[in-house]
Amino acid sequence: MKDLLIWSLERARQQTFSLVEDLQAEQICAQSTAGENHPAWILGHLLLADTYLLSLLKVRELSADFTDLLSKYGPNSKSVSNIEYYGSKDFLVEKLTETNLLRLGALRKMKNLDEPTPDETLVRTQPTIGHHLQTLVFHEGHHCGQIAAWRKRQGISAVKGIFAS
Amino acid sequence: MINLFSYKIDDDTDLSLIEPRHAEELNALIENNKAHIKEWSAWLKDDRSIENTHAFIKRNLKQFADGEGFAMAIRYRGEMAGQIDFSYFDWLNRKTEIGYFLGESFQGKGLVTKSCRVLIEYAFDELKLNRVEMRCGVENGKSRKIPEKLGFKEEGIIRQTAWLHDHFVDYVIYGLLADEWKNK
Repeated sequence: MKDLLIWSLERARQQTFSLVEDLQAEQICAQSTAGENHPAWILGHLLLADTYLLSLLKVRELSADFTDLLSKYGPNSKSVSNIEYYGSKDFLVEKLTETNLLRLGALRKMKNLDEPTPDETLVRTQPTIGHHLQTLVFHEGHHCGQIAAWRKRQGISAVKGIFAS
Repeated sequence: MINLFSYKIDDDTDLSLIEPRHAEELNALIENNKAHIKEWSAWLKDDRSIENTHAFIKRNLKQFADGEGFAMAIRYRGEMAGQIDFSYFDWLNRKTEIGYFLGESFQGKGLVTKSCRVLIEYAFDELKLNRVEMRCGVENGKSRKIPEKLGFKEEGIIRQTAWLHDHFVDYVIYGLLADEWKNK
């Protein structure tokens, strides 16, 4: 189970990166409609999820940066087309590369995926760490779909699914 | 269970995984101790820069993600004092090797010995490995004291195994088995 989760998380991240690889810096905040989730918001949102996971896995404590991430990229935040508001694509990709390696390493060290989720707000829907990790695979796939749809609306060619290659 | 991401050994000493955010601190430690580290470390070149430190940390994280080893910072009263690592994990043969270096001004406080103890316990108790190795230059008396204090057995000399700047050096190989550690 653990190996499958590692495999899935790793490939989900590769898919995310493949969907933004060819985008120019100024493109990542483009919106067809106001409030549409664009790649800058999605990359930051995934970084928020990774940051939270790393705190659950006791890799890092949540810092003041987390509050900033939450306000910009949290589920209740609204994406805007102002590129200055977000980190650059390179910065976000670099951070996501780092957090991905940390989460994979932490997961490899875990002995028990059945440990209860330490966050009371998650217990009902994701009772164990294993459930939370599985949710993150789904979560990243969901947002990859959003970027793929965003690309189509922007007239940018489709990216091949890495699971198919 | 030992949480090696951040492990408090005692009031003054702790260990933490080396991450990109630690690059400047690690680089300063290396730069301030260049002559001291170079005496026994072949990896330290004169033309190195912080880019080498960034590249090392990236490799360290990849190695950590792949379950092939990892490096940790040894901190003394919050300050980075040195580095200790599992250089590799050989899962097939259930063995690993510990490497380390310490800033000159932090010597004599038992930091490496204490840190090695934590890593050895982690290797045997958490990772269920069977053997831990250490290698030291034959003439590196200070470094050799560490495995000897920890009960490692001297197993032999590897002749001219490393090119140290301008000459070959012999290394002593030390080994410690899980049973020996438990029965200490």
